[in-house]
Amino acid sequence: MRRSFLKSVGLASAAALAAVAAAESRVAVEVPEGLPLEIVATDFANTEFEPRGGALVIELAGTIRFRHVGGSAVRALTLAVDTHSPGLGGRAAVAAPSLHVRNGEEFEIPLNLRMLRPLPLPSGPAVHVAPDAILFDTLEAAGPDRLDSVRKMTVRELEARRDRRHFLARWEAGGREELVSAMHASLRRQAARPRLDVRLAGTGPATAGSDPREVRFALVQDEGAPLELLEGTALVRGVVSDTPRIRIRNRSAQPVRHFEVGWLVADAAGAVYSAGAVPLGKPPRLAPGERYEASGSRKFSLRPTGAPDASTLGSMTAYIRSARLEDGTVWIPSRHALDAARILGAVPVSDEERRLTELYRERGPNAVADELRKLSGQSGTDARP
Amino acid sequence: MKRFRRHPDESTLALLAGGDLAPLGRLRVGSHVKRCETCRRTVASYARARSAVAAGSVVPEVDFAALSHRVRVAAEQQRERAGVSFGWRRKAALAALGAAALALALILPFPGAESPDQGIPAEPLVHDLAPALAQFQGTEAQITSDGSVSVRTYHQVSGALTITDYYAP
Repeated sequence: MRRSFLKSVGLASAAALAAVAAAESRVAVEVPEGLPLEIVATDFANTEFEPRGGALVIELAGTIRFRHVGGSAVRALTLAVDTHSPGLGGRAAVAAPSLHVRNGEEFEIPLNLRMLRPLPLPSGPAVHVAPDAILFDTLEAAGPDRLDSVRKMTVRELEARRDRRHFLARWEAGGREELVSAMHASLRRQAARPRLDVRLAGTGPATAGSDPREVRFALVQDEGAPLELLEGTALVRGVVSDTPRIRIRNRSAQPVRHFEVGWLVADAAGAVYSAGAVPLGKPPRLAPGERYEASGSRKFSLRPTGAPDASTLGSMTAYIRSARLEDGTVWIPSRHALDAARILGAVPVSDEERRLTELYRERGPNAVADELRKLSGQSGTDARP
Repeated sequence: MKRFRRHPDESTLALLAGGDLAPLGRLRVGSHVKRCETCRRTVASYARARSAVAAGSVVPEVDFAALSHRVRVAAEQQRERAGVSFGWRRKAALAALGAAALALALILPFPGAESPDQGIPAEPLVHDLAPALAQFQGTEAQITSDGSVSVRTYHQVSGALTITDYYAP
């Protein structure tokens, strides 16, 4: 009796191990119906699945090659990566901006991220990858958009067009020498900009330590923005920021569907860091003239990179980073406004500026100029140079 | 021919028993052994030992599982006699149950995991693994307005830039 029981346990264990091993081929890639994409090839051979404790750590590494079978050129694509786990590491999105893929052309999206899911494994694939949304060069979009990808891709695309215009203007004004100078200035700015190590500090009750203090945001107003910042506070305990609150007013003639408030943090020595956006969640539709107080409950630990002993956050600054209006247009600040507010050096360079400077570093100014010419001439943007 | 006035030493007798003495030495020592009862017994015992070693050169097959089982049973009986509780037995049973539960849990489908729309109840993930995901050392992470953390990666080979948003529960 005992022997047969042990034998069944052994068989079950072997089956379980086999299930884990089989999971290595369990990355499913699908295209939702109606999207003008075809899967040409996938390669997840380097993906690793490692059971650890009661969870499976998935080092997802691979590429997906798509073919564009639609009309308008694809400018950006966001893939939803899902392990169907509600916990941390169960869901992610991989966005590829600054694409230029015409009908019939193929393009490849690299994926390199770490996912988690609790054991036991499902009977089907452990990871599902599927396009969440596609953005075309007309700024139209398609896809289920469950992760708010269209808005994010549109903001990135507008930032990309703004920054491409900036560099193209430098090229047209002074040729190769001027473009090289602009690229070097950007690289210096990227290297000099102080950075934060960001850590999710959870949503539960505050941890023990010093008493929280309320920090008032310094507000950067942009006359061209559709929103006016009225007031902002956050509770700070050491290097953990909690419960940010922002009061805002829609001063445009149109309702505002969504907005992002940029978040800068200064340390005790006065160095300014970008933390990204104040996590305020999804705001309601704001009618013209309407005031609204947005708040968030998520806590983040913000520690200057290279300063593990930093014990406190100093001042905080807020600025309008983007706003989406009722008619679908998206507003972003201009480079000039960021520069005039003396925050251009603190905010991260756009994804496109980063890509162009990397292209310059790898292939030189002619490659950058070719890229700028190739992608110039788009329409349908509210972003100003 | 030289005769042994005393008994040959044991090593010489052992060599004789094994047939390893040179011909002259074998003649001399053999002549003594024929006449000496003591040395004859010594040579005979070395010959038996040699035969025994030769026979034991192949290790007999041992059923180690059975041996282990017998040892455990003997130990259990000893404990019973000594009035000691069967700790190993309980531990073994618990270990077997744990292994069975783990095995069954691994192979059974995860309830509700087939579709993200089935409303999986929120449950805490393994907490000791969370910090590994929550901190993005070496890359610049930015917080997004929806509370996810965004990391961008430049892929040198393809020249592509990707932005990965990690969503927190």
